[in-house]
Amino acid sequence: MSHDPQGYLALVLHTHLPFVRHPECDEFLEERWLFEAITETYLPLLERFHRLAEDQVPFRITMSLTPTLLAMLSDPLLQARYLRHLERLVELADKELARTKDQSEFHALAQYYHRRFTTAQRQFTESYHGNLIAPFRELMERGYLELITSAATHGYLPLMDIQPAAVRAQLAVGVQAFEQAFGRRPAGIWLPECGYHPGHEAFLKALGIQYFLLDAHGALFGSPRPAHGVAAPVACPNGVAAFGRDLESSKSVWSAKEGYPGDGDYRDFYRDIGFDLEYDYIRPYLNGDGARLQTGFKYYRITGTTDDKAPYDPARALEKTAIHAGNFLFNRERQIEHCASLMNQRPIVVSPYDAELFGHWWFEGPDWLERLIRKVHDDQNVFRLTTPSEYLAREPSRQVIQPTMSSWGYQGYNEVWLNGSNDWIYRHLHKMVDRMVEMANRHPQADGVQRRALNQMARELLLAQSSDWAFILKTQTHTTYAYRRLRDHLGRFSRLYDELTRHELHEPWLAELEAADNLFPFLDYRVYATASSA
Amino acid sequence: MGPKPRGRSKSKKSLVRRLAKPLPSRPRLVARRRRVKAVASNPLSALHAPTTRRAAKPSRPSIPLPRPAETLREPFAVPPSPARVASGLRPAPQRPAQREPFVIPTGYGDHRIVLMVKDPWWLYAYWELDPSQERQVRSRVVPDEIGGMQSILRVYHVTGRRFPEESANASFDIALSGLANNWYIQVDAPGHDFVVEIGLLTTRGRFLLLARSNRVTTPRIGPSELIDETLKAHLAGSLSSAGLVSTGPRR
Repeated sequence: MSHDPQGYLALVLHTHLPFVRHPECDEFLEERWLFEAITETYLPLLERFHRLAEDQVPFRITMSLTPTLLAMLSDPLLQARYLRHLERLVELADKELARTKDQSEFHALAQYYHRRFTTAQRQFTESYHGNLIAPFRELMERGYLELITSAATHGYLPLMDIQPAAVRAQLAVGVQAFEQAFGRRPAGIWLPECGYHPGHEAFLKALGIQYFLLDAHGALFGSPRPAHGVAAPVACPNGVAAFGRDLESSKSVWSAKEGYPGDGDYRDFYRDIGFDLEYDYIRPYLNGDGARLQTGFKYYRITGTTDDKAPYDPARALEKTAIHAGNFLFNRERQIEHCASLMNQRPIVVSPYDAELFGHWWFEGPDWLERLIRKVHDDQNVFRLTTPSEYLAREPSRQVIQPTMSSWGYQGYNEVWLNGSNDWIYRHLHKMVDRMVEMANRHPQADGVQRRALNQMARELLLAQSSDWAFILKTQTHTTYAYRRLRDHLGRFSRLYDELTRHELHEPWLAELEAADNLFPFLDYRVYATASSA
Repeated sequence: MGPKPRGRSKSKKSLVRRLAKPLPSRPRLVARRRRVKAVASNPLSALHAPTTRRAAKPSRPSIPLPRPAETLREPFAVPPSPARVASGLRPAPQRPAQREPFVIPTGYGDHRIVLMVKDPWWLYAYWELDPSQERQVRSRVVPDEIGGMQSILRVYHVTGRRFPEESANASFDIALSGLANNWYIQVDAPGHDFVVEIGLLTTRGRFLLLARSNRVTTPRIGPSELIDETLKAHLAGSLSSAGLVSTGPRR
């Protein structure tokens, strides 16, 4: 790779889960979101990144690890529960070995899963000592990963715009959480749901953030018209850079119809022994209520548009990832050559994805990514991998435009988080912010229990603001849970507000809240103060 | 949603549905809103050609969360496992103290209307009115105006105007049903500013203001007509001049 490249590709993995932690229950269904993401996405990605580093492949990937995810990854209770979860999977894998011993195709897969889950155990305990933040940090320090932050609890910022204090706090706490975890200030930020509202760049600049990611139309509809479309970052009027999302590369990975993940050789997500096998056999591995669920043992490939599925063949799927990586590579080469021929600077293709797509939804995604990275290095000289901040340093010129309000949600604006299924939440969320600002201004120097109560109010407010709840209410998947979370955080916040107002703080109850909603131990409620200082 | 591999098994989905608990009814004591087709009465609809409506639809790559069924969560005895993590499994703290369950309030005793942007074509407003303030306003009505008095939203198009000091460019009214406390408003006006007032309209056409909203701007759509003619020269030559091209934040 002595050749100077004609352009760059920036792969951005947005890595987010809402804060779900229920010490009050021994088992909690929604805690499995984290466990499944660790087994299927985070560990496989780390394994491949380490392998690439060992093979001295100089790769560059950008990952936004959200503050709620960081809080969960470093939480001892969830770490221990994850190990318990794995132990039960290994136990089930043992049973599966026995059950499938006379079915050679399935037996090989049972062995495959047994190996995967025991490997996960070993990696989680021996390699990472239960804390996955350390290996991500190490890969960052070695220059492979550019880690960036997001808003504190993934609050959807365009719908907070009428309350600047709310936007500022989400962003400031997000930056603080990153600094706590990684010992440095983040260069960039993933605005939750790619949600941008004109003017929010002012908060970013005040926090020392160099860039954010923007959906394509946020840049393309900006004014003046961006001369290079999304093939180059633009600068907001205050100098903060914005990288527009490339739609073509996005579609080839996201789309179930036209994209790679829908290929018949890949593993079928929906066929799972949690649904397929006899109830009594699978019952011990279901949650307390006994509802069938995804266990992670999946024996079939997508096959085609049929319910008659063929058995999954990992080797065959792996071969397909090489073909799909080659296709992606070829398309990016042509795309970058084309853009470069029209531009006076080197183009950049920015491709953001949810990290959980790789491994959780698209089981072979991590293999595809590794293949792609190797091919970028070995097979061509047209482009190189880069990260946004590396690109900014290399190509210092930027057209100044005012981007438009946008998100990567359905229809490209706020509809996913503001519609008939979830609009009722905003009168409460806005009221919480009003009260939080009121309390922060009224108590500029609180200490003792009062200070703890104010900090906990801020935590409850931030948790209620997670975009995930509005999203779940819209998609109707875990509606009861989302509703419960909104009610709980609103309720805890309101009672703290009332107790503080009446000077009747109930300390034992406060301590329970602190133990349950225990994220952001560094949080200072004065981030909401608007009175004297800013 | 994320990729949906082909051939999703329908039977699993229905099983999940059968096992799902019915949702608790939500304490919403509000009238159901209607989506108002305000186009006909909307004087703004002539201001722009809605040909680009629903343009630029990017696909939604949402975070697909796992999708097991909604469940009741009852304690389920799992043999405690030896903690392998250095810090270990801490004993589960006590369940947060039993207090009477929190009920999400229908209101806060406020008197205000809040306006939000849904997309370039639609706004959303919610409001809460203080009955005593409303009574005060009603008391200003002369007796023969009372009959047929109608609650309305008055939607002002205020782009380029310092509203309410300056008058609006245009406005239109939406008649409200009695118990509504929120409304979707079709404006079909990307890239414009709006303010909404809620009030009472008398039979004589007099508008009595109850509350005025914040101001919002819908996002503009389509490529900007504003093109930097000098940009090419700037990109080719000196990059730092004229504020057209910034050097960006320092690295």
